[in-house]
Amino acid sequence: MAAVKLEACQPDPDAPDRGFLDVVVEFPPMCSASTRPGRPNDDAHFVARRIEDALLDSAAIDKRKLTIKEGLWAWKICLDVYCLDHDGSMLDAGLMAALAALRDAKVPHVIVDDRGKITYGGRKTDTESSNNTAVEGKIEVAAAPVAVTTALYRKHLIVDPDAEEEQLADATVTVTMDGATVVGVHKPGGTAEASETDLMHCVAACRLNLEARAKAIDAAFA
Amino acid sequence: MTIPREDGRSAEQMRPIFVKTGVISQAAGSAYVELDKTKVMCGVYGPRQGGPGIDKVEFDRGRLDVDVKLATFATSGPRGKVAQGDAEREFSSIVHRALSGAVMTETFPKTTVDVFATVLEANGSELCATIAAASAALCEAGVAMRDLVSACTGGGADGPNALLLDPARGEEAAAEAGVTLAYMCRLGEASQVVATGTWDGESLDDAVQLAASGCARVDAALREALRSSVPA
Amino acid sequence: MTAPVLPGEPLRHADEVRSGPGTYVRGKSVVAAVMGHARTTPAADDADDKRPLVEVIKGPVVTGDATGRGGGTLLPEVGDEVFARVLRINPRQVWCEIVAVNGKAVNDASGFQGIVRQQDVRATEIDKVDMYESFLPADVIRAKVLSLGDQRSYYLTTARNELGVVQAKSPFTGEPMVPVSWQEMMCPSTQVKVSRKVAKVD
Repeated sequence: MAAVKLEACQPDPDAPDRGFLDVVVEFPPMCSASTRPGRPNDDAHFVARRIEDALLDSAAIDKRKLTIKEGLWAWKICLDVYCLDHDGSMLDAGLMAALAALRDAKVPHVIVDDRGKITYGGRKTDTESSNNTAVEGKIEVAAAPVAVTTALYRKHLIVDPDAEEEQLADATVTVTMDGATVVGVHKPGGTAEASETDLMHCVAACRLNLEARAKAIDAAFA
Repeated sequence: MTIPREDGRSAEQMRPIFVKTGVISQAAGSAYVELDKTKVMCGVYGPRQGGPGIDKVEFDRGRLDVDVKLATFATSGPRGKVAQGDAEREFSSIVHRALSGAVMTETFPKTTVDVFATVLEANGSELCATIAAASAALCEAGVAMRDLVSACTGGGADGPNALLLDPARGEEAAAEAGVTLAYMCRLGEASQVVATGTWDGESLDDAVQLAASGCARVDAALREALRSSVPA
Repeated sequence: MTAPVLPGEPLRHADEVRSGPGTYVRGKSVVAAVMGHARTTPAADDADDKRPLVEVIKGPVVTGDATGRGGGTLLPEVGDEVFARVLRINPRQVWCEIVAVNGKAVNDASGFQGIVRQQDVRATEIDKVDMYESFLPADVIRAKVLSLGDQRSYYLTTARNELGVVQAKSPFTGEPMVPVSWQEMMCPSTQVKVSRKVAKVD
């Protein structure tokens, strides 16, 4: 389950025309037999960074579109992804949830006065609030990257492994694609090496599943 | 006398309840409960070897460990903190006490049953929804219990005859006093009563009775969901 | 097929039946404690208490299946037969991980551990037992639960003919070895024999 909260804050002085995208992934103790309270999950940070990369590298989110008033105020997208039930391929599901949450998010209208003070509210035809903010109170999501994970086990490639398969796998490869473009390929360690052919198979697997997954998100908004 | 509430309910009316079990694949038992917009998910693991933090293991009974987390997006307003705060700890401890009255720990000596819950959306009566989800999850897991535990809150806003059953978040905030009752309906025993604010004897009694009627509805919803999950 | 019962629901009058696993007695009733189906078993002919036993079994009850244990969850109890994998040894005892109880596989995450102490390895000459000639890490043993044990582990015993090592890998080829006698196993490829406390298989 993913949720988006928007916070208005000061942009980085080195990047006054950009907002922020902060992705946090949580594995609460209830989601699997090995997660316990108080012990942070090793994968959480990795999955969060991959989701962030996928969103930025595919230009799904353009931080420049998050400015409210250059140098003074910008939006920070706080994107929290919670794993409710861990059954493998967390990155695939997490990215889908993140995209859906971003599409669903509503940007509040704000007004910045001459002294730089920000107030929430105001009409959308207000010229100050329409300066570089998202169109019509929505975040502009310019792409729809989809991640597909494949597990390598001995000589076999298993697409979309569940928790047990992931645990037994010698290595996993996640391919992220947006339409026909490959946006990212990640192979976090593992005991097996992935040959060029293996990687091409993984990319093919991603291409095959791309449409079905994109349709699933669209269906939710229908 | 009924006073119209924000969502159109009468004073003694509960919000719609939704219960679904078997929602977490690796858990021995799990349940998802909605009280209108309030959403809680709970997973039960065990009996199993307890975590490393346990210093002494009892040989005549088992442990019941409860941990409840509030998702960072559960409440409106700024993003919450991920680390467990005092509120979460207290929440966990209240749920633990409510369940302890029912769980027969003597049936799993030396081992631990873990009850992990996450509040996904808090819109009033999260405590009640969590206790209900935990009961259903424990039952699905096959943990021996004397009865299912249901919980409900009766809140007192100011004004006469102003006891409200199952307050939504706005009503909870406006209430001056509240009673949350954790009740084992078949046994007719309360496992816990938490009262806040000031009450006089009679109105407290009324509030508890009101809460008990709410518990009966929760109990019925839990049993229906559980029964339909048993393969014939 | 009877309707499923849930915790807190009364089953029968306590004067008519005995309370078995998955049930408890409250006042004059035998009440269900877990979710499942009730099963009534008549008392043994020579039992003092002639009342039938009522238990609640999780999941569907197969008539004629007397092996299903009442009550909800799988937990090692005294007298249960377990399969365990040996983790490590020292001269006095062997630590192992319990993988099955009474023929049913235990959940991976349960983490039940067992210990077989020197005096419980075999029935005779117990002070002459050499742990390293009885078990080695990665062996799978059949044992019986002796007691609830200590803080961390259940105490197990292999002191019967049918208990002991049921599977061990050859140190030369890694393949499963075959039992030769109650104290030796043989690697099928190299024909070399190694010592173990072997379980007698019929």
